[in-house]
Amino acid sequence: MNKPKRSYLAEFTAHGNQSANPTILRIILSTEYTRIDFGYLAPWIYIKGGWIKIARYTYLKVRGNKKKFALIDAKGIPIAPDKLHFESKIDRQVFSLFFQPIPIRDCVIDMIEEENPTENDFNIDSIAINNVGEVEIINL
Amino acid sequence: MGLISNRFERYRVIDELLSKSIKEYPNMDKIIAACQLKLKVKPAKETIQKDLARMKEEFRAPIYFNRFHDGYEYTVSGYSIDSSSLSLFDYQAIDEALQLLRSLGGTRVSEKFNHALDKLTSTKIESSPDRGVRPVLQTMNPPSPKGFENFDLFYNACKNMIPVSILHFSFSKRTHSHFLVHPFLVKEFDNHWYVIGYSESNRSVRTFGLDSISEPYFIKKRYIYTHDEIINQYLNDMYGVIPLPEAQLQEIEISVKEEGTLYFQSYKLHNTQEIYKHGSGKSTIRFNLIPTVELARYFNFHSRQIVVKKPASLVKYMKNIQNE
Repeated sequence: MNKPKRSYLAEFTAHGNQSANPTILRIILSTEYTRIDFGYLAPWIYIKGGWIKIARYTYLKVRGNKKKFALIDAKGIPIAPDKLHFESKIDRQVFSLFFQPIPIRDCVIDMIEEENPTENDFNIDSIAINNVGEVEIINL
Repeated sequence: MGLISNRFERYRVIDELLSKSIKEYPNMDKIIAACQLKLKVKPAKETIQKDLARMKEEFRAPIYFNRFHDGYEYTVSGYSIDSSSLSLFDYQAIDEALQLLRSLGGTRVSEKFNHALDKLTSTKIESSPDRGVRPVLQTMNPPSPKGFENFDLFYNACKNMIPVSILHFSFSKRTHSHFLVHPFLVKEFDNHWYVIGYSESNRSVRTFGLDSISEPYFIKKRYIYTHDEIINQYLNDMYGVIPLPEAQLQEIEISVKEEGTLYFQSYKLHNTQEIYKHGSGKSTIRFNLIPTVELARYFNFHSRQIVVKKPASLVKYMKNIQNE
């Protein structure tokens, strides 16, 4: 018999070189995937707000675990080479990245889009995930 | 005249023919001729067939086609559709009420409500693309705002007291955030929809526009109740949905010019509104309300007619928004 699907909200704190943009809004750990929700503001430095995309080979790394947890889906952001072009500097986007499921327990993870990132890549280090399993999502 | 009225008028003609004390057994041609004579419109044979079927269904009319006399009759002596438990007048009233609900519905309420209305109207109201009902009542029916697709979810969350995890964007601060909200009210104001509830992050009651919420999910967590007194404030004591910081229920006084006075006389802003007219036509108007962002905006928008006198905190807030 298949295990019933369970999804939990995870508390988290992001350290390291996380830029303010995109901002991690929510992390959901499920038996089927790990989901990270982001909020992104079109930067003022670009005339029409620029664009966003995510590399297909983006993955999560759990500290103390050698496995790479691959990106399996993305919502609200195109997989490169496609791009979402903003129309203005006031635009914004909420997007979600779905990775292979990491173990449902407290841990520290890194999200890696590029091994040698530029400032345009969405690499986020040292996301501490706490109190996993305390809050279950019902209707996901 | 609309199709619905026409239908009921045809019912009357048919009922008159079938309920005569000396039975005439009118056939289809006689019914059509009678309708044409009395209503000045010749109905199709199919229309009368539908009418007869509906009369049987809606009024439980004992209509029977008597083959011997080659015509229709009521098999119950003395029957008339006016003698059924719901009179024709009742049915017309129900149909008109349905039309009104349909008019008020549209994009302004939940999908569930609209589906229910669709079911009712499909059984109660005759419609035809070629001969559509010309409405005599029109309400504002603006397009659905962004985020309205979550209306049902928040309605259920309030009704069943389920906390919700939401992603929120603040237009004023231009920031994205995640909130755990224990909602108690979905409220429409000025064609904008809001959900109001206790926010765990803020440790207070907060108002969120549906248009600024994305990806809401129910969460399994103990629901944090908001005191009835606070809920009632949001229900009764506010013009709008976002109270000013630290605002309490209090007397608000404005001074209004002549034209504005006439307007406030016609359109009460709130049930607590009291107008004290001066001989010149100007007035002092008082409300008992919790000052809100929306009230301040309203006064500011009509600042050529309105000067806010009390409370001092609202006067100060008004000055700030006028200077922005």
